[in-house]
Amino acid sequence: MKLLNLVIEKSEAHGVLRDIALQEKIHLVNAMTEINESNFKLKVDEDLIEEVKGLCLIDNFTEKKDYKKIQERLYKLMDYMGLERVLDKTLLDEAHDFEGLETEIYSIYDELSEIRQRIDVLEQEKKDLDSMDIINGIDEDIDFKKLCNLHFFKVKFGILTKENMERLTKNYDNIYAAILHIGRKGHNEIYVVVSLKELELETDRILRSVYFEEIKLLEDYLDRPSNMIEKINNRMMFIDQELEGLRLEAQSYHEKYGKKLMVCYAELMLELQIEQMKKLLAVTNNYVYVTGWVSESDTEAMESYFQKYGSKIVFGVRDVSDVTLKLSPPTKLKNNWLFKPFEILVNMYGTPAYDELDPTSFVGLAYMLLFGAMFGDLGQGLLLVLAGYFLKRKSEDYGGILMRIGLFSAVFGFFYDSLFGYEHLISKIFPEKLFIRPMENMNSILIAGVISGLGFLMISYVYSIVNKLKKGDIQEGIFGRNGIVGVVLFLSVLFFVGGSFLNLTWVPTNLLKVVILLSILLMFIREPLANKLKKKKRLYHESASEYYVESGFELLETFLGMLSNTLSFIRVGAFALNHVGLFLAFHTMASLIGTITGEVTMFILGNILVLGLEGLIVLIQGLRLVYYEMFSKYYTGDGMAFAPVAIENIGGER
Amino acid sequence: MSNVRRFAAVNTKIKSMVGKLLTKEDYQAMVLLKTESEIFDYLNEHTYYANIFKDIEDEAYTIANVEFHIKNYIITLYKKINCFITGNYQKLFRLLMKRFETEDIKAYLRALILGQDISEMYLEFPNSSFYSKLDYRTLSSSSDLSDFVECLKDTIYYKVLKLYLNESPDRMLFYMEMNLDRVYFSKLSVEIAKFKGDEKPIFEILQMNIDFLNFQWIYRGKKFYHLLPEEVLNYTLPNGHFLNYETLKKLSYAEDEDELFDIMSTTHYKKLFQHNDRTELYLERDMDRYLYKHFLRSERESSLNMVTVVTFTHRLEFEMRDLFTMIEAKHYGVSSEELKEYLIRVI
Repeated sequence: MKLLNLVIEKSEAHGVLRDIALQEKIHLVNAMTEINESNFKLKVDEDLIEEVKGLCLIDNFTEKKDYKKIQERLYKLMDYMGLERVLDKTLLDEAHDFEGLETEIYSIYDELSEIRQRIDVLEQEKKDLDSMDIINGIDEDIDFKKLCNLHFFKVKFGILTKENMERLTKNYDNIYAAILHIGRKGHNEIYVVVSLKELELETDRILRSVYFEEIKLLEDYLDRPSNMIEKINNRMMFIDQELEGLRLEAQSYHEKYGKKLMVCYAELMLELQIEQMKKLLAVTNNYVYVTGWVSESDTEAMESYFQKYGSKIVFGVRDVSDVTLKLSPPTKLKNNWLFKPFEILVNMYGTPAYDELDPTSFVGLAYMLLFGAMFGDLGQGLLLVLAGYFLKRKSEDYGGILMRIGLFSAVFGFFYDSLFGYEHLISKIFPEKLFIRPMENMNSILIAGVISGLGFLMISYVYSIVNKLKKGDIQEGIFGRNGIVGVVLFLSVLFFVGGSFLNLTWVPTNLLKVVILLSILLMFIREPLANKLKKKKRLYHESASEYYVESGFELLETFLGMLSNTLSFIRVGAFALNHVGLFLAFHTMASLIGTITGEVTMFILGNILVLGLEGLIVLIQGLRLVYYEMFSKYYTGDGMAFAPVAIENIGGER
Repeated sequence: MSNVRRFAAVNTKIKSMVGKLLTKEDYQAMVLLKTESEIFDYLNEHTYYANIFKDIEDEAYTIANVEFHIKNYIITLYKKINCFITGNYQKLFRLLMKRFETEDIKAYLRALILGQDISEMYLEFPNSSFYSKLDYRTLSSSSDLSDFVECLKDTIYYKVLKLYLNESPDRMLFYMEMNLDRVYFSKLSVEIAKFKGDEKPIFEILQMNIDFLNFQWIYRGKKFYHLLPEEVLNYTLPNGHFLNYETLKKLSYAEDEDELFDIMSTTHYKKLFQHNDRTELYLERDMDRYLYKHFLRSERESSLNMVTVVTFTHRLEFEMRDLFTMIEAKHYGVSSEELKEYLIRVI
């Protein structure tokens, strides 16, 4: 990552921002904070003095353009012509003058004004008629035409909730209006309110206080309810036909203006994006300041790209090491196709910090192996692959993960000799020597789980040491429990214990004792030791006694942790057994039933249950091992993802 | 037993917070001070508020800024309390907190109706995300009243606010404020009713609040806004404690405020209406004092339940309002004796 600083003459600012949005290579940060942190450094030549002087009067970008009007009209036109709001970025290759486009859209809008108005009128009528739909629920046969044309009385028609009607009834003796319940539709109670025209104002206010929802009845349709419904339906049909015709007419403009509208739409999205970007800029009277992160490989390309603006732009690039600590660079994860989907698992925990190793490939490998070992079944594994393939259309990452772990499950399943829970089936085709069945090799499976766990832990230690030393953290990186001393201690204890249990004579127990004691001592005094090495004056960040008490407990926890971390991996073997065990139960049940149908039902039921329940558990357990046993050792994940500015299809979300 | 598990932690937390409230001595000392800056100094030297003001620069001790800090401090306390409550009780607490949302909306409406600029108003509510799902920035960007109401489209307030958009400006605010409260308190009643049995004291507090709200609406609606009796009656909330429908109906149809007070002096709240010609002046204070006393009593009587939480939120709010009263009073040179009369807490 490199930090890019740009000073642009205001006249060119729009063009540069446009380029940035189209390039999709710059992760913008707030230029104001940048300047305040005095990170904003440029190569200053004599002739740039004016630009730099301008920095004295900095402000945020306050100019705001209002795109509401054009947006509304453009969307309307697109709807009329049946254009979908998709963003075609290739239309932006050639620069268009947005203001020009705007006037063009307005003129198209005017050109279509006749059709437009007719559509609007009809749609409004349709809406009104739709709301009149409630007359379906009227039970009484009332002649609305007569009722609504009374000379001294005003009639209102609408909906009132039961609760509010009760309120009115309680005080009915004081209300100068007749309120009649005439029907119900769904949850809506329908009422007619008749009051003297002179008292209309008072009645209105009272009705409003009970949230009466008036429904306007259109003059032309007043009649008995059944006749009204018929009239409305007829009219609706007519409106629909009419609208259809008008839409066809509007679509005939499609050819003429379709392209133009799409271009305008893309440009509009770009302009809206630029508005967003402006929030991150700083401006002075004549210049605009932009700050952003660029990945190292793109830096030169960007520099040469902006050359085209010549002297109107000043370009400054700085290395990460040169930037103050307050501003941490974003992280761009780079992984090959095999491990790419697992980035989502890493990001779920936290994005790696910039100076941290990206653990994705390790996570991917570990997760695939762990899942495969715990859930080894050739048939079900292949089913998972299939499920992953379909899921991929919905979610690229999750589908990808499912396919990969399914594949590993199938591979392990092959060697476990397990097909949909049936053992000894695959081995009929292949030579016996290939297979290791969990149930028949219980101990070796459990031990293999622990040993593979040790392997994963060792790799985690390596990650931890590299990460910590990269940060210059000697205290934890060398003397910490997840540092070099920690590994030495872990391995010595392992060999010591292993040696004495298995009576291995080649293990130098005396030497190990010395190493263990020495490591414990180093860990115990790691903070003062590290500070001494760094030649810091203060040896402890708290009082010495507090430190040693804490350190003592940490040591205890370290030993407990070693034990629990290692044994935790027994579950890998245990779940492999579990898988077979569950099927054993189903086979027993099937043989108890004894019929073919029973066998088939049990086979299907068993497979569904195991795939659903155990599959889910193993999915979680695998994640737990990765997050808890491994990540807690070496991973902080407090970074920020690299998110370059890109145009978003805002209008497309409806 | 389960209440010990549920409320032991939050009650302890609240006990420690109660310890930080102002004492009677603080009140007595502050009432005698001369200017608002002396009050700020007192708060800084003798009370917990020093911690709240520590980020304020010397020249920034304006009344508005101090009030802003106190308000936000209270919300940070609520945020802490929120962490100690679980399950349905947390839901209830969140709903109690929603009160701030309605108050904020009222502030926006007031500003809009008065034609003030609201584009930066969201800065006044930095903690809004705690009690509201609304995006205050968007609210601030609305250009006029109807635009603002449209921003509330998906909320429970939308329907009632929209009804009054065409009302005359001098009445609109009253209608809108009343209906916001109405919507909020109806929702609160529904939620609290779900806690049948063990939370009776909370329901009582709510019911008294409803009584006072109903009375205030009737009083203001009749006196200042000339609402129709039928209308006013319809706006009152059901489920009051001592004011039933019949009383409310009588109140709504009262001829003038004297009759209002007469009717009220036949109810449980008669004590509040015995100042004769000064009833009006002290009415609000007396209602608050009444509730304050009630809270202190129910807090003493209750043990390990939600009442402690609800009571504390009210005590905190009363203290804040008293503080504001003191600061304002000093600013406008109200005498110490007179000021005492305006405070909710009796000293």
